[in-house]
Amino acid sequence: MAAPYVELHCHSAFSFLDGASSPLELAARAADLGYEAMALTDHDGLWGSMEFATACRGIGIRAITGSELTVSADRSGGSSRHLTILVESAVGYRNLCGLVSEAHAGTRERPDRRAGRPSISLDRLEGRTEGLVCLTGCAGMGLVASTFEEGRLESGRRAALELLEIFGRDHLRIEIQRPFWRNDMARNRWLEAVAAKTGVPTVATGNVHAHLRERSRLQDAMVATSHGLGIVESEHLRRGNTSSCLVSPDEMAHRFRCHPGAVEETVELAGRLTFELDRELGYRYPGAGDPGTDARLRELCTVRFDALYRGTTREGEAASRLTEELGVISRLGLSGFFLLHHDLLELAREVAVEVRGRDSARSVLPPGRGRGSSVSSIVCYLTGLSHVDPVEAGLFPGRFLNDEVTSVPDIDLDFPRDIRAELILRIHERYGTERSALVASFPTYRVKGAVREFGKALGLPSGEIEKVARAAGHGRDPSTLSGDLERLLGSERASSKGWQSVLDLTGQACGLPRHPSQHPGGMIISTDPLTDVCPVVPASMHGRQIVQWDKDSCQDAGFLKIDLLGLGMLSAVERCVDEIARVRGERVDLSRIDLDDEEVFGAIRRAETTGVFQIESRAQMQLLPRLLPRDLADLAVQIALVRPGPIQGGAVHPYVERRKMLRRDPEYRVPYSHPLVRGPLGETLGVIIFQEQVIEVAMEVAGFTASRAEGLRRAMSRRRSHEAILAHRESFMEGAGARGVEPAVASDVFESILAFSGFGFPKSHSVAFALLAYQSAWLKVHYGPEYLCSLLNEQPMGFYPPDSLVQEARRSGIPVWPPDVNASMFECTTEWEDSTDHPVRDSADRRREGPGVRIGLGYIRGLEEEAGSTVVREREAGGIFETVPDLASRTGIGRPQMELLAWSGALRSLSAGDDTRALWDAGVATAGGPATAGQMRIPLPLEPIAGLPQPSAWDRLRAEYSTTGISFDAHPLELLRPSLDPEVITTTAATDSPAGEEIRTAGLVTTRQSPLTAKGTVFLLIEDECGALNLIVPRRLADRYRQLIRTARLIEVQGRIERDGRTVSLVVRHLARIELPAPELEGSIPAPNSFEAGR
Amino acid sequence: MKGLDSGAGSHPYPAHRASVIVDDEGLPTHVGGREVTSIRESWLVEEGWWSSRPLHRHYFELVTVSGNNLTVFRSLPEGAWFVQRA
Repeated sequence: MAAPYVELHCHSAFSFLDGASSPLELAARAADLGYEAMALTDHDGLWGSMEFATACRGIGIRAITGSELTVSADRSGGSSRHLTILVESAVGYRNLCGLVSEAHAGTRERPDRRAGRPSISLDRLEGRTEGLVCLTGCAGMGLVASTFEEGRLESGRRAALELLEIFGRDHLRIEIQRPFWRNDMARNRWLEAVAAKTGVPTVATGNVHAHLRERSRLQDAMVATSHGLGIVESEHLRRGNTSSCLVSPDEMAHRFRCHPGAVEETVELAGRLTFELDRELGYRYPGAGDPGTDARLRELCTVRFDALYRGTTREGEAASRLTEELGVISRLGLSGFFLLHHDLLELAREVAVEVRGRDSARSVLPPGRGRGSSVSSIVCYLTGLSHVDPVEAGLFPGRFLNDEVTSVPDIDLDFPRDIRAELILRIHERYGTERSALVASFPTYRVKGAVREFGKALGLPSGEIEKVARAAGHGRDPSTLSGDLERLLGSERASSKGWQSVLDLTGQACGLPRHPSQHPGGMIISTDPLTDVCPVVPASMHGRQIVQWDKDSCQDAGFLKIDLLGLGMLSAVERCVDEIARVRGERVDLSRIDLDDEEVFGAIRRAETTGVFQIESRAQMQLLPRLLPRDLADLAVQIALVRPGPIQGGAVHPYVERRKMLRRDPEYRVPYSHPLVRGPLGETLGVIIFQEQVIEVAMEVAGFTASRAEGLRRAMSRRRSHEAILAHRESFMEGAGARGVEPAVASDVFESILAFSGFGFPKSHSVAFALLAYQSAWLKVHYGPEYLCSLLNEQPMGFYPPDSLVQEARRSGIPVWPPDVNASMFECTTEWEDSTDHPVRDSADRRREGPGVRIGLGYIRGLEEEAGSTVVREREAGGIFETVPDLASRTGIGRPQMELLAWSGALRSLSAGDDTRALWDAGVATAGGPATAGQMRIPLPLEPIAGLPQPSAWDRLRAEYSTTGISFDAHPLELLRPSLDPEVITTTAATDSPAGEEIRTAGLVTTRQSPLTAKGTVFLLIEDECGALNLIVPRRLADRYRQLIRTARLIEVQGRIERDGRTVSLVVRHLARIELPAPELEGSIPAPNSFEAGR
Repeated sequence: MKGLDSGAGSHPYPAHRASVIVDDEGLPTHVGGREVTSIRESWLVEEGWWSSRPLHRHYFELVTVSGNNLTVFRSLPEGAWFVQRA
């Protein structure tokens, strides 16, 4: 029997802080309850509509698209009210997108660009309602229903008549609801009367806010949060009971048994709302359908082909690959798509010239470079989208481009940050703001934020909240929260109703979208106005706008998405090239450097890769001496290995062992699980390392078509569906059986595919990244100071905090000097000598020793850019500063900023290295506050002060940490050493200890990792005055000491040395916090870089 | 108007236990021996779930055979009935 009711008013978590369930949860629950169709009507947006449509399609429910629109009903004399708008046809969908876009248009008008509440004036709906059905709105805020509660019945009736005029009788319904509030029955009787008077039917809706009754509490807490109120104070804004959850069609019919016509109307109306969002969008990218594009793309490729391949040994292969790729592209109608990308890159080239300057050393670098699977395409190489020769690198575009691809392939382009920022604005200019926008992203609740928000809403003591939140880390996995509560607050507080409620709410909220944001670089470009296919809203950054869909929804919509990613390392490399030119007068062309430089590979094999792109992490550094990469291909494997896919798929150990065996014995025969995998897995010695190997293995072993194999890969990589994977497994086993593969072997192969799960790099991506890794290593080896300087200027980026980069550089012989008003620029710079600490020496000697790095004044926290720039400007104009009063007089810098300079050590050259003197002078010289503009202070001569106490080494350290975050004078361990037990050895001594030896050591925690793949094990990197050491904290211990691990900066550890080749780690058995002589010091020590598992 | 203002406990209008007979659907038919002629409104209040004293009540605004307006509520989960005096 057909369901008697269709839900036409439902909010998901994409109503941000008003709905408490995801579209997927709602769709699945609706299916369980026997719904045949259902609408999603989030507030002023279609943020979750595509996700809802695809979820519904997957489980056999018909999704109805809609939105609850906020209208400012000026003509009715009221403030903002709601209307439920449902889409009937494609025209209606276009209208709704336009209305939602307009409602958001003015939401970023405040100077700080914080989002205001969207709303659209009722009269703006006139003439834009074709294909839309309007329900008159919810019980509390609906344009018509709300007037009942307010006693403005006449105004409600008038509003109904206005809507009748705007939408017409066929497209308007009087909405009645039963939220189980006090006046429901009276209100609904009145609404029936309004319906009779206006001659339109009533329709019943549930105004659903959660898929399960238990979620209603989360909805309550979210509403309190959204208004910045406590749960008690928000009573008048909350729903007041749990009846707004999704219940069965029968229960809804029963709930409205006094209004049978309104229930029947839900089914009647739903029957008319046949628009299918996931099939009827009508999106076209620029150039689609233009018959001339094939020829233009061919011509473009041919010109570049002649330059790059003609006359080379690769010419024949390249020519046949080009013909084949152009054929596929033409058959798929994608020539325009490639031309568009080429166009964008040309635009990027123009932007690059402007941003870099025509004559800069980095002007020879390409404006950006491809990453991801597109790097395997020869067309991408020839059109400049990728910088890797796919013929030479042995890359094949199977995954990226084949006759069976069902969606537009992704092309990802990396740009230096400065070029990218400008390029986004220029794309808006070139294609028009109506036709280009950034992709949205939806930050989801994490444990820490959820504990803070819900704890505050529930009125828990802020001290307790902070304690729990700080221990919670940054992840989305709330499973350890219960244990944390008990440990941190004691069992009595942990089991209190308030904390148990926060525990429940956090568990429910984690993973739900919290607010809309901007994707780092995804852009959508369209032929027709984008507001015809998806609402477009202003972004928080000026001049940018976003579509209301995230990358998954955009992909489901078939949008052409271009990823313009800002890559910090590209910026650093460009800076470095410029810095080398400035310092040494050499112009480095990275496209022409020797790719087999033994010195560079030697450093890589010794894992001297701190600060090098991709291969600097703890895990990468430990693997380098075991894999011993010899060329770029090895480096590509190295980069791809340390990913969740190969790690979980168990590929790392066998690969490393097989490499070792092959090094020892070139005749070694690699054991393959089946002869059929020898083809796809030959180059990776029988294990799956690259993403496309999943596809190739499925094709070889089970005879999957390319698109079926791609379907398997996608099923695993995104929103994993257990049913979908099971279906793939069945076909895989069947296909493998038909090819004579034993069921046990086939099952093993499938399991290895599943374990890989798609969380790995495509080979093309690894190859592209390997090149950048090599280039950055080359710069580090040959131009270490300039490279360090560039890294410091591009922070934050990479694996290590600046202090670790500096300490490592100093250990390897690169001098790093603190900021100084007589030497520093605003940014860090490379210098040939420290002109402030030492008398000028023979410059030829210095040049032989190589340059060092001077920390910029901009590194001093709290120093205003204006103050820093004034110091540099005045020094360059008037020569070096002689005394502190001279500085104060010439720059007019006020006392707090001057004291900051003194505190950071930047005045040492004016006080003969005496920090106390500098601080004293700064205070005296600026007494009376800053000089006013145009009225310079008279430099008063200072009397030398005798007998001022000198700061201790700890004072100096604290000053350095709290101003620049970098220690220059002494490492804290150096100062602590005398007070440590003599058995506590240095990290260098620990590294030299034999395997199995039990040792004690201590250090400053510089990085902390708890990767998902490590299942609770925590990896720490500690550093002392001699070097660094990796610590492995097993899960049991990590659980016990979790708070210590998360908060302690300096630790002492005891454990067993583990060695694997040249890789050394300490498996920790005991750890303790080192108490510092001055407790306030601990807070000034820079926090380690932390990489924690998400969910 | 969601109806919490008709709550009991510390509320200025005290509530008293009432004897209520209900039909198959749980709707009151008799209050204090008097027949209920109509139910004008019914609403739910679920509040204080975060505290040690959660409130879960199903309210009814009734007219009895004698023409009196009465507000009664059933306190859940224990199921006791109260009459709310204005």
